[in-house]
Amino acid sequence: MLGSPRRWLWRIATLTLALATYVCPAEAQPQPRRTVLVVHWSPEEFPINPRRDAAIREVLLAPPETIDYFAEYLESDRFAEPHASKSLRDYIQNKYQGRRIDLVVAVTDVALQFVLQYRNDLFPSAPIVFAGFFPPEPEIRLADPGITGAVMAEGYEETLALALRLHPSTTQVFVVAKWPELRFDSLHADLRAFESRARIHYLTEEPLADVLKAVRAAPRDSLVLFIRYADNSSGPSPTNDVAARMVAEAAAVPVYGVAESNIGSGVIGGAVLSPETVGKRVGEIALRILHGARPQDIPIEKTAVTPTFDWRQLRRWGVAETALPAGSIVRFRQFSLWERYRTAIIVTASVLVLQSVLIASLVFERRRRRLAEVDSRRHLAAMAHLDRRAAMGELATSLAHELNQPLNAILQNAGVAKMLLSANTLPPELGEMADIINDIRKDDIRASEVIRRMRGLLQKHELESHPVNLNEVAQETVAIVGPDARSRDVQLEMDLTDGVRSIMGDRVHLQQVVLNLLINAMDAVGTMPSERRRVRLCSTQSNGEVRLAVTDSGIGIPADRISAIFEPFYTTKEAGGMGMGLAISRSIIEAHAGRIAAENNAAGGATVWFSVPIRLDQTEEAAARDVLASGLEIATLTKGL
Amino acid sequence: MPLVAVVEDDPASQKTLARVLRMGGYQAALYASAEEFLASPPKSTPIGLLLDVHLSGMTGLDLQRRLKDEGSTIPVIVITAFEDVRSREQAERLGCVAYLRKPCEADTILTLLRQLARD
Repeated sequence: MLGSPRRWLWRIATLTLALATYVCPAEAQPQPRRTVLVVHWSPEEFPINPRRDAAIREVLLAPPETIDYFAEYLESDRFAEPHASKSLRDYIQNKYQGRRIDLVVAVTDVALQFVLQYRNDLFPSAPIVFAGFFPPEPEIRLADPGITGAVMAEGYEETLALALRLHPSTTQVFVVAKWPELRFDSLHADLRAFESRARIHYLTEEPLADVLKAVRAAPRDSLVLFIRYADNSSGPSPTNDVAARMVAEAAAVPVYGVAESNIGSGVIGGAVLSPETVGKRVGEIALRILHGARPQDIPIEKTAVTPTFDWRQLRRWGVAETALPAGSIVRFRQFSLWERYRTAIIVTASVLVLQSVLIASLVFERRRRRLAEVDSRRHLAAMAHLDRRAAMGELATSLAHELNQPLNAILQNAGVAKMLLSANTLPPELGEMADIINDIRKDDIRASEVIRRMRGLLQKHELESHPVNLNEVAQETVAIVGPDARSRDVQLEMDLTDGVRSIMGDRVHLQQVVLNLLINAMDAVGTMPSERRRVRLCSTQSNGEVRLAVTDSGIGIPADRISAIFEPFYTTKEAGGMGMGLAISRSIIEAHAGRIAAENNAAGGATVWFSVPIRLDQTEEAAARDVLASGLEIATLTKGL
Repeated sequence: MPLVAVVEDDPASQKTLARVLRMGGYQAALYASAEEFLASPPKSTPIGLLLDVHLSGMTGLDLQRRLKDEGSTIPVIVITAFEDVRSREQAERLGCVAYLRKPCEADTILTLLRQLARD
């Protein structure tokens, strides 16, 4: 047995307690909360108050502190004294009744004065931490419960030193310093050290207008040091900050200031007290006291000044940020649009660039396609011309034959006329002469007709749009191929419906199509026995279209090739025609807003037909005319035939 | 008057040839096709036949061949608008006495016919 049960019980209890105290540290026990009251003064420094207050608050309210923080404002700038002070005293007394104030912070000398005046009424046992320009008298400070804090000093020596460093070529300095409590000799003593460096002009007596005149006339290598300006002697005068702004606006040289509030009103910068620094120092001192230190043991400290600059003025006076001392604060930095929205700008710019690229490439593609279209039409036109010539080449013999007939007749008629005239046995038979001459004339016309027909086919010209009667075209074309048909033993028939309406188109090109179809048909029946070589040309009109069909009695078109025959380079001729005839015919018919097709006949052979609309509505007409006019080459080759 | 037969399908050429023959003092028998000539040949034997090669239906060469096969002795003068070496060779092989290319002069034809008459 290890021990009696009671002893074990004790051991367990002790262990548990030890563990409990280990696990539950002292922090878990609620600390007593302390109350801190901060009194501000609210003058033109107003923008500074929140910054100082926030800085103090940040220190005092940081965990694990347990402080109840209150801020009050003595508005003796806006309300008359002694009412302002008295009413604040009463207010505080009422408000904080029943609450013990553990520490008071007084920010600015006026607030300190108030706090000292009513200390006994309001918070007799609370230590005071102050921030101001003038420390309290030692005997007041050291008396319990004690006062300590931070003295704010304007760093005009530091500012001037800073300014001269940043502007090394300075030879003159204009010091603006005018206020009721100004001690000139003290100021002069402070700045004497700089007199070897530059000539110093003190503007301490002049009214504001003269000050402005002086700084306006400041030469190039000079500076202005604006310390403070308050002049109530002759009526209301601008506040310090307003005066600083006016001086900065008037001066043609950089203006340095010593108060934080100056920066932003045109002053380039200065070694100034940062409200954040002041607040933080005061807060830290207060915290030390709250943690047990005696105020009397904490020496009053002097808050350091911080070089602070206005970014806009730095740019204006060409001072590089890299020249500023380490730890400088640059305010009013204007981020260029670029710096602020860099990502958004990059993304947007990329999107825009991509879109532009896309648009440009699409436009380019379209243009390329258009050019290719125009190009291909030109090609087609050139090929159409070549094809026409090739077709004509086939009919060269017909041409020779046709021309030779009338020429021959003319020659022989003329010969007979000559014989008649030279026969001196009988008088010339005038009747016969008249006949002969008439016949000569007729044959001459016939010859020119042939030439005209041929020449029309050999010219290269752009598609025109005129009323064309397809029956006439059919008849003319049949006349052209007539001799060839005869020589090939092909029976050429025409079955033209009377009264077909005219269509709008190009006569010569339509003739070329009919010619092409007829030649193809004649080729198709070439292999047939001569009594079975029949080619028929029919014209009909229906559904607002005129249709021309060429039927042959050949062997027909292979069923799988029926649509392919209109493709370029399709040919069945061994002698190697170009195979462009039907492709060109199709493009010509399509340019007329018509259709062309081929089919095999039930009775054998094939029919190739095309139809052209008679009357186009306005848009179709305009579109067709555009196609006709825009597509093809304009050059006209006229060879004497 | 001596007779000359003409086979020519072009009406204008036919008329002109007739005029030329009349001028030369010949009688003309006019045919518009080879078939016509074969169907109703002239009553008296012509002293010559003016034949166009290029005809609808039976060609002039075919007619020449037919005549030769039938043993015709009528002299054939071929007048043609075609410049075809092959046709000329064939016509000459088939025994034409002359091959004239259009356009040819009236004088040429008459001279040729006078020569024929002498032979």
